[in-house]
Amino acid sequence: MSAPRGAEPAARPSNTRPGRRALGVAMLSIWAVAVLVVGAALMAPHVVALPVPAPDARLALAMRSLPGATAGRWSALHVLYEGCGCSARVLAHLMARRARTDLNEQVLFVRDAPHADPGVEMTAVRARGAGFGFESVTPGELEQRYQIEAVPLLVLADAAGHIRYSGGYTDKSGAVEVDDVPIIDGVRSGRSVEARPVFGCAVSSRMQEAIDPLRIKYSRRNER
Amino acid sequence: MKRVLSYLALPAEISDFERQYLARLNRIALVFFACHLPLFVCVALLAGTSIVQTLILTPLVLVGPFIASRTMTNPRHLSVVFGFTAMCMGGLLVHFGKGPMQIEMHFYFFTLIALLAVFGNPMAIVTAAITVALHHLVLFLILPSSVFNYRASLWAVGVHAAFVVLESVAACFVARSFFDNVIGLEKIVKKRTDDLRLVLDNVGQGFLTINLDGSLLPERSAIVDTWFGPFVPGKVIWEYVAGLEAGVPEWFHLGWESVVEDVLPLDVAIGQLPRRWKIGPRSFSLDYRPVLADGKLSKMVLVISDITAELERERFEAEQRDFLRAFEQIAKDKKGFQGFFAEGSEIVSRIIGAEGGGSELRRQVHTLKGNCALFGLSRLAAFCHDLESGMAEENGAISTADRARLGEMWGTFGAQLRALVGREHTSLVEVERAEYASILAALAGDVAREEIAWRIRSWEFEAADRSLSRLADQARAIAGRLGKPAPTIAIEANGVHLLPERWAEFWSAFTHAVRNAVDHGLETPEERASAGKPAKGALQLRTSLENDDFTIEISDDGRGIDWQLLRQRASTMGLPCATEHDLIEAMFHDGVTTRCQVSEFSGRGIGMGAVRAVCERMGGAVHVASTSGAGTTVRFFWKDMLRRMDPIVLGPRFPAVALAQGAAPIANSVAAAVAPLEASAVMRT
Repeated sequence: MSAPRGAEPAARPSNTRPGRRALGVAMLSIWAVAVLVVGAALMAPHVVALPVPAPDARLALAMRSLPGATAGRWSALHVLYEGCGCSARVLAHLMARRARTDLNEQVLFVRDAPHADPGVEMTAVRARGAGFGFESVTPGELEQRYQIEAVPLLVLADAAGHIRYSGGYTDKSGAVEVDDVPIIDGVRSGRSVEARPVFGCAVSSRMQEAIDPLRIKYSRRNER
Repeated sequence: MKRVLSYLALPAEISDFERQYLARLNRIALVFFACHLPLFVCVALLAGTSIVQTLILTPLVLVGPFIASRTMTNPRHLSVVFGFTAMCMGGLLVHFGKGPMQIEMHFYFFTLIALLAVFGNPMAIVTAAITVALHHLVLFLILPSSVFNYRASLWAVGVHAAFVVLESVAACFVARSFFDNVIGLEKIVKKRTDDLRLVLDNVGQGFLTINLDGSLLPERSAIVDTWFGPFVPGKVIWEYVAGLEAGVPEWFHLGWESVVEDVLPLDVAIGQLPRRWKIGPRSFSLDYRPVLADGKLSKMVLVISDITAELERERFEAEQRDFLRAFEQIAKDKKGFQGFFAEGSEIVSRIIGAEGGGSELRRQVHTLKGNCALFGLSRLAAFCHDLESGMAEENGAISTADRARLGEMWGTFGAQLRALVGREHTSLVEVERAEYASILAALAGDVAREEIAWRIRSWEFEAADRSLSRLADQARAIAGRLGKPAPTIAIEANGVHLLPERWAEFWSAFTHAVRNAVDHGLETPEERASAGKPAKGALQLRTSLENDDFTIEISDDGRGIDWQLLRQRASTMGLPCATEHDLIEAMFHDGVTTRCQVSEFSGRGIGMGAVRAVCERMGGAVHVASTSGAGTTVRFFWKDMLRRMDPIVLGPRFPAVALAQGAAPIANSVAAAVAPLEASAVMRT
């Protein structure tokens, strides 16, 4: 037994007027497109493989001019960026393993401010304490001197000052392992080591504009 | 493809159950996704991601479902919006949880796709999958080299996508199964219920379901609407059913309160509810079926049957039974029955015409009831019994409707009677063949002309033994109904003749004395045996004319009057009870009875008062003599009856002496009667 035919509960009276519904659909459409675009823009920096500098003479010259660089000694340059999560992870790794004695290891730390602030100074103290050479530069100086636009980047120069490696630290974005030691050992032992992509942060304005056209990630340098 | 689409797209109809389910689930989903904001803040803190981004981007994703919940009326559409939202939230988690755990955060997509199955709508899952695809498409448009440039091989990307597709397919299957077998179950039940209702709606009974507060639930059969008008959900039943007799709604309301108060046992409380409704010309019987939950009443199913036709049939059958009994009575004693009918018609006229109440009206009703019962008119007797009960509650008055009903019933009975015996020929005089021959012989002989005239005049009178025989039959009938053996009845009429139309009222009332004798006087066989009496009681009915004084007497050999009990009852009613005379007076007082319960025959204490009232109206008096254990005699006595100008009693012989002594009234009467009789009498043999 149930309610007889014709006595079904009436269709739910809509408390939403057609105009309001149409407005809702329009707003939802805009919202969906916006969220999709923003989502894609957010993802791009995570997955894009950033460019590495060409191992040309200019970079080789810059490597030879590194503090502590001497003839007959290999040099390793760790280019890291203030506020870049991947750079921080690499820096932490380096601090943990400390600098190797069989080569000259330098940390080139990119800062946003024109001058080193206490944070940068603290990083310098920690790096030097771990045996690394340390220098901080602005993004502009980095691009001008090294032609580097994205970090974290590892550059290896042999005893003759030739660039033997220029690339990232890991095979995949967000990878846990930092492969600097296998890379250094591989290159020094003469094996062919393929350059890893750089998954991290764009440093130059041009590169930031390219991978973050909506300026979500790089809208302000201290919010990366 | 068409089959796939029909599988993914649900049927357009949304049942109440699904609507309620999705409304609740959509609310939960909105809260669930809103809770992502604090979660993402925590994740951002742990992963070192921007809190500001978290506080901006998460609400941005929440805007969509919020707008949808405010503008969409179709709950399924809102569920689809949540499919889109889910993937966006998954993306935010991956973004905010960057670092070593970022890759693990992708599992949340699979979790969310699985969770979307609870909406029972494959389109929510398809939307989620499409959202992921669109995301990558837009990413490709923004950064054409981005999709495959993280060195993932094509097969790795393919496996990645395959997992999403595979889970989406599985989730769609689960969602559709959930819809078909759980949400859709309600539709299956509804269809079966519709089939069952089709049956219920086509039976003669109506079904109503009542909530504990008396309000109507939607479950009912269609015929209820036909009977009682359009259904009003939530209205209490005693207000919904219009046209009930006065007092019935209040009765139902009070009875229902008793049912739900749970003070009385449930069956007892239900027993106090009305069992019948009368609405206009229709009658309904009610049957209450409690629905219990955990031993407590949760609702009540009211089974209603239209018994109008059944009652009409019962009424017709009762009428036919009464008619048959009347036929038997007429065949047995036509004159007596006609006399009863004539007197009954008088009583009915008096009852209908009476104003207000009073003891006289009660006596009339009581007399009519008794005579109807004796002559087998059970419906009329029962109706009079109900009238008496109603009079007791209404200060002795009878409602206009009841008077009309009595008139209608009596009229119906009269019409049947006339159809059976034809109109009463009051102008005819019946005479037995022996009397006819005797008169002829008298005319041929030397019998005085006055005596012949007297004998012809006596033809209008009825021999008292016929009246007494009638009463004897009634006494036997009463005894039978009371479960007593038929008493031995002695009739002693002493040749008395009575003018029927003048004595009809008395005989009508005299039945009370007969009933009293049989019901109150005669003991049960067991009592009689223990008292050393024969099992059968004995009655004597007697008329006599002695020295112009006329007596009608009824005697029994029963238990006698219980004077002690009578004294108590009289005392209770504030009546004098000091002497035997007081007690006899009390016995004739309305309402005084030695019975504790009112029965069909006696117990109201009205009958004896009625018969004495008639006796006294006719100029008589009543004497009572009773001996405990030996019996009672009630004697109705009229002094100088033969000396009246208008004789209503004749003795067995021509009163020559009385005439010689100057009994002028009779002589004059006879002389007056002879002329018209000689002119127009038609004698029957």
